[in-house]
Amino acid sequence: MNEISGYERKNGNFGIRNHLLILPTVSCVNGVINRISHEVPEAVCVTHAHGCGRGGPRDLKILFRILSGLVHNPNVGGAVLIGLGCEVSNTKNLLPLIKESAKPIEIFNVQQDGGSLETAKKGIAAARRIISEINNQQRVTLSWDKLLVSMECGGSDAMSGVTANVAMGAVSDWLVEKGATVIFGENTEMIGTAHVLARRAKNEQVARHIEQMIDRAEKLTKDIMGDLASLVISPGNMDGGMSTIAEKSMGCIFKGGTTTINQVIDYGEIPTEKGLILQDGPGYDGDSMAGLAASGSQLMFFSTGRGTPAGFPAIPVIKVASNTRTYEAMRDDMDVNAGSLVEGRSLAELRTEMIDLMIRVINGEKTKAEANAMDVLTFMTVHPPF
Amino acid sequence: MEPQEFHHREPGENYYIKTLCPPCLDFANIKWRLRRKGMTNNILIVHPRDNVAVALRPLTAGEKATAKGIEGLTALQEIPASHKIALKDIPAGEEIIKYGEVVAVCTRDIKKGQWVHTHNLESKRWRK
Repeated sequence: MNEISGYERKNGNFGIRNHLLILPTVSCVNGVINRISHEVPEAVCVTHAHGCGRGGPRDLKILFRILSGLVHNPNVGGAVLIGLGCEVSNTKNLLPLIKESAKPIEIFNVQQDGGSLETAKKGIAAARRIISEINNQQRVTLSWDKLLVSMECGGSDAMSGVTANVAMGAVSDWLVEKGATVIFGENTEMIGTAHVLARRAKNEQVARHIEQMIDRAEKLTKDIMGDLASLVISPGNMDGGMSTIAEKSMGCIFKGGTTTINQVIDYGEIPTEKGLILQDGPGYDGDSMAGLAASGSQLMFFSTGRGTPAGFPAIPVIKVASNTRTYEAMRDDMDVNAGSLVEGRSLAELRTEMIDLMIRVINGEKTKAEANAMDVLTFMTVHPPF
Repeated sequence: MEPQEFHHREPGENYYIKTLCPPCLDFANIKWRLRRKGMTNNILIVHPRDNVAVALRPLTAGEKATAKGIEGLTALQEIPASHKIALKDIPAGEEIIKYGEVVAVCTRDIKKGQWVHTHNLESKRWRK
């Protein structure tokens, strides 16, 4: 029953979806993307607010890593890139980074291809060409070690760290045992747990890397928020039963399970190790998901207590509600009710349900966020625009 | 009786467990919903090393706290939902273990069954 399938890519990766991605290189051409999406609804059309106006080395690295990482993501079978021409992340600069993906890719630029309407027309024709090409591809058997699953949380409540993240941690451990790779990020939510995570590191080098990452996150939080940094553990958190920052953070990092941490990767970087991986990414869930997607995740689990409908383009996101009230209130958006743990269900039963669902999703069943097209693309920048 | 009607009434009868509930469209949900009636666990121990457990719903003073593998634990005072209850006596100075890890240090002797929160523990960092 654990048989899973996917689409083989030329570089040896496997996607669990076979999407055509239509991506703007800069926000100026978002309107062209919208026009294409009306004509080619089966394509995954995304818009974003980036591509120009930021020049610091860190921001440039992130910009190119995220845009090229989305094209490289194994769930993407082909891509149409719409550029403007004069932007920082123009298609000429991007092309060397995405060429080696060996996927069908077509590129248009509004300044060279006859303006926005003409570019949209060319984009629509290209999209239809690529779709008919990639639709011929068949699913083949997929081994677990080709799978990269991310664990994310957002809109958390007091039960997130008790039910949903604990259940996701149990799934993480199961996946790692199967040979799969599990990533989780959100460095601000690891503050107070450096000693715990470092102890679980594969070697001394990874342990130091973890400590540096969390130190930096803590310093940054204090720099930005000053005396308010203590609100990282807020009165609301305390009302919810969390007594210390370490306790709050433990509830967050528990979603990664309990196995050895094999590598720390930068935001959007592709891991070279298997097993459990930490990503040095932000706590904001939308930005975090973009980094996890660019790192090559084919699937995400996402725990939420207050309830967020957010999904991610081209990647199935399994929503895990931490309490029954939210699950009932947002039935259209939630895939799993971890609140059932409170109502007499055992963790083993819930884990089995989540694994069964995960296998069905890998094999093609749509998650709620996927079926509702709750795609969000937003990613981190470190400097303000100029 | 319509399955839908049954589902929202939650009568807890085994006979209906095999009925597919139209609004849920699954069996799994029905199973735990029905178990709610005869529910036994009101606390959750996240990790076997933990010396505190999490209340899954508000516990009243004198109420028996139950979880798998736990016997003879009574809440000595009111414990709000998602707050911690001591699984054993924890003397001042000892560490509070949750998620299998140290999350705080105990500042006042805590008796088995007492509420564990900011009044009887302190953080190892970012002290107020």
